[in-house]
Amino acid sequence: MTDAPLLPVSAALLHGAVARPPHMDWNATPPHAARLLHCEADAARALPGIVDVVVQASFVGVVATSAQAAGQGVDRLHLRWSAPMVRKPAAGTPAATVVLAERGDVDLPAAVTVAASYRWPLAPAVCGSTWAVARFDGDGLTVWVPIASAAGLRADLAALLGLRIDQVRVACVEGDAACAEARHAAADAALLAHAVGSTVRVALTPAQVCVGNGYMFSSQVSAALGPDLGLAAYTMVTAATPPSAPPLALVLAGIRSPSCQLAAPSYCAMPPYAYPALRISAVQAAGAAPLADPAPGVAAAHVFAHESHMDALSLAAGIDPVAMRLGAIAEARGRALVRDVAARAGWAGRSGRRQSHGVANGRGFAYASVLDAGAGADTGHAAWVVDVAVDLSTGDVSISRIVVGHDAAATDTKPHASSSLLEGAAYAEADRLTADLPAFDAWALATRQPDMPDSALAVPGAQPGPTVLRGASTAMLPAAAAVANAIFDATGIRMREPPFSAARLRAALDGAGRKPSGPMRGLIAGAGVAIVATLAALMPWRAPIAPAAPPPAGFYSAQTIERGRLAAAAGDCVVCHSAPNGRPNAGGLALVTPFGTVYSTNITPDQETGIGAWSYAAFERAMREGVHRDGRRLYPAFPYTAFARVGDADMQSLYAYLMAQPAVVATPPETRLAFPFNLRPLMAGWNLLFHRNAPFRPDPAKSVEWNRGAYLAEGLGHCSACHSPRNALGAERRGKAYLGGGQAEGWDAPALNALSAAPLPWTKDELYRYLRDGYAPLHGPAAGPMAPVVAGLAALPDSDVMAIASYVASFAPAAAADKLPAEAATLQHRSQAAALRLTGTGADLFAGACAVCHQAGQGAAIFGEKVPLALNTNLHGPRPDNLVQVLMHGVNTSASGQVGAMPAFADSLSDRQMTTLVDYLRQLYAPDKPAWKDVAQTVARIREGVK
Amino acid sequence: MSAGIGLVVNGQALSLDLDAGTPLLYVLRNDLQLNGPKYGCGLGQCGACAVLVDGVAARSCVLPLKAVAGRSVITLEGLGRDGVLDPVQRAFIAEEAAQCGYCLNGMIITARALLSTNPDPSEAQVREALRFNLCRCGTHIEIVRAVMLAAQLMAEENAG
Repeated sequence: MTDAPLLPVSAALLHGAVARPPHMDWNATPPHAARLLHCEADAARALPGIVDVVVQASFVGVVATSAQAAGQGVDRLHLRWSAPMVRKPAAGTPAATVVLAERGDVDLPAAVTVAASYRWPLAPAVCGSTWAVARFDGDGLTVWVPIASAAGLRADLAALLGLRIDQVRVACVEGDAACAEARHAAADAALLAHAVGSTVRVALTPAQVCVGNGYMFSSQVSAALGPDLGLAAYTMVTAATPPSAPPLALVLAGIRSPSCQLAAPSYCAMPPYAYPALRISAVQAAGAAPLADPAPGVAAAHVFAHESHMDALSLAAGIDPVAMRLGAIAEARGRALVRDVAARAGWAGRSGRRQSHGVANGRGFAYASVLDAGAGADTGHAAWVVDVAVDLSTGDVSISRIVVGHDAAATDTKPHASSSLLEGAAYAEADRLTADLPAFDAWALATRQPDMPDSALAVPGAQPGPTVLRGASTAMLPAAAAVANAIFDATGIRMREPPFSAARLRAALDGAGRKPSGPMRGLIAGAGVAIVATLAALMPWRAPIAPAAPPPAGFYSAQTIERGRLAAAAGDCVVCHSAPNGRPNAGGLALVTPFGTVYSTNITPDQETGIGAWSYAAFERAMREGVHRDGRRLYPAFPYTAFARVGDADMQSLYAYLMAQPAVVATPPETRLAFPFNLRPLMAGWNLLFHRNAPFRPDPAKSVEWNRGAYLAEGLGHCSACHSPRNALGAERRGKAYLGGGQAEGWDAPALNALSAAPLPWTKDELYRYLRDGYAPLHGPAAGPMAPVVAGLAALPDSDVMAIASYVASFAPAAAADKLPAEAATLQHRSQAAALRLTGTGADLFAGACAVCHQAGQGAAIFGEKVPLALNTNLHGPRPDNLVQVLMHGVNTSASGQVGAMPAFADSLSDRQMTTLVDYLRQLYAPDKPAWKDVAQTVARIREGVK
Repeated sequence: MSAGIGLVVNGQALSLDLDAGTPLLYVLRNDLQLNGPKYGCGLGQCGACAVLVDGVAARSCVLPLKAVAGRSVITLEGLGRDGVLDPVQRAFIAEEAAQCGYCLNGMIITARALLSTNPDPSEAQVREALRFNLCRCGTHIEIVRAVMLAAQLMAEENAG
């Protein structure tokens, strides 16, 4: 390994491409891959530019004169692989425990014992593309590879090719692509170079290097204090360190890796404190996905457990956490560092929960020391003081200050991390620790715009010199515990698993008893109008909010406005706030309610006629409480009952978006309801009875996707405004009636819950296609008032539409998705048979007007679908309204371009013909349902609306 | 709703800046001067307006323009190639299958669509395929005979 040879120039290279099996089981020992069953090597060899095809067991590679030719060669191999092998873990196998360190008697009686479990996600290595060059000649093998450390790689390559280890040289090349996964490329290149006796370069895509999934590493810790509150005993049981993954070429070639069968050292398993008694043991955990280089991750997991636990222990003992550490750290340089960092941070004990305006501030301390990390790892001490501010309503954690001290004491000659590098790394680490997991209120567009916290750095003994990134890893070890301890200091909540995302912290804050309390609505809901009038006296009028100048252009970022655009699309603002053929959002649509006609208002930012003079406070009050800027009560035709659940960030983005739209001068007709509903102050009582102004709370028992769907559907989407029945006072009914079907714009909004009349249950997939494409194959097209809803959803990403589908489907009757096509066929055959049996005027009308497009199996194939009415909910529902609406108006606003263009029959069918046809359609398509009542009246009523 | 809508009509790629909801029939007749398809009932019932959309018979009076975005539309004018009439058209002439001729566009288009999926139909299959194409002159016998002849002509051309 002396004098690394120069990387061969590209002209002297051959190029290799490798195939990867479709299945891989890393949990087997040794790892198990799909077997290669079939390979047409000769077909590939016949291609121009191909030097050779190399097959060894299940390893397949092609060497060619260019990378492109090599890749084409692999494509030409027509590989077939064995099916994945299903492995079941052996049941009842007791977990083996290995004691890593033990001293004293940990079971002596203790005055105080603190026990807890900590978890740490060991992410699989981030896969990037990588490469390697290998040369095989009389001297042996030389490999150039962008990798930080060749440890273990030489032994692996020697085993792969059957060479002595001194015949293998590995030159570690500096470069952007440096990553531990480059060892896969190294082994691939070595095998190919060996086979063709030449110099071969292999480049791998991320998909060709990706290995395994994440692995949750857990540690159970128990610490005991003696009668004098001094440290007495410490036990930790951790998961086994997952082995690192051997190079794939070895697995595929069926060769056991000599270097990757042992667990990597976990050099922070020992706490840095002088416990008289301790026992550290590891449980052999099944299912550990391999990691490229587990040591740093495992060390961080151990430090997180030790340091979080030290914080909890010091609290139990009533001792300052820094003082307690100073009394327990054995190393003098470690004590000095802790003292120095605490002094520079102005440490003055726990902060004592300083909370104001919904924000809690806290401060945390953590320490780590690495004294013997084995080859290739740095040593030293590190201490962190972190200040955090926690938003108690959202759970957002912002890091307001970090003080980091790093003493690379043990190796004075080693270059230290420079101050700026350490600062950047510290910030990145803190950001990673508080990164948001996918959450119900995260939009796909949102990219994190981190704020740089102030950081002060104390680096005792630091000397300027070349920067070494790896030197920062010891310095970063205390980060997670310091942040978690600060969060505990601020909120009293101990986070035992990073990352400390807003969603997790919010869930924990909710669990800690900050439940929203609503008025006793259920008890008085039935009491009726008289009580409404009494209660209205409580707070009937609200103060106006003074007109405000609209936010200047550029006040909100483009990203915020874009988020607002999506929020507006999810909320379908424009659908109700635009008159037919009117300007978008200028108001004037008539909404017919049982209490009279409500006209939508102008929500463009016009100063006089729109909401241009509305401050955000006024906008938010209207959205959440249903109060106009001037203090007037709004009617719940405007679904503030749903919008109250919208999150703050979405509410602000929506305001930003609306204020950035063109102002339109338009005064819509005034809403005039009959007495007593014209008395807007009465709405105060209505709100007290029926409106709960509370933000959305995710259900931790449900998936993120479901919660995202719930947030969109219950909040902005206000699905229940149409799809839930309303009581006599116009309030949505909840509980079992939720999504139980309602009415909108003269159409039935069908029940989406157990009451659904759909002949085949709605599934998540069908709902997704309905909401995304405007057409569900087993149900039909979106039409009527649902068409603009689908059009609005077009702005939303697939994931959000899928989330809404997931949420709504959870209310639908259970469905066996695989049986649905067969059931659909049965229903269609049933109505085809009925078509032969039924005769009369209805049948004649159907044959003339409808059959060409709707009767499957008759006539020529017609472009578009022969829309299967036997599956359509509207034929099976309790009322004929939607069917009559479609017959009368046709379907011209269909959300789907391909189907659902249907002419209107209002001018060609008389009321009597229409009634006859509707009765016939019910018999034809829903023979198991009773005939509709009052069809003639429905036809007459809906025709009245046509005029 | 006005944005360039792209489609191919009789082999020619077009981008039409028209209201997406306009019935295809109006676009063909009024904007493209293709008068083969006829306005009959306007409700998709009679078939006089039929055109081929991606080879399938379509009722152009009830299809909004947006429904054929990105698709190939062939009208009666587009059936022949290089001045030679389509075998279906030649068969209709040979059998003198027209009285007033108003329905013939739909009959020919629908027969063309049938024969491209079923080149050797029985008479019953021809009748079933033309079931929703209305002819009020009573030329049905000649029309069915013309479709049977068209199948024969196509078979001969493919053989020769």
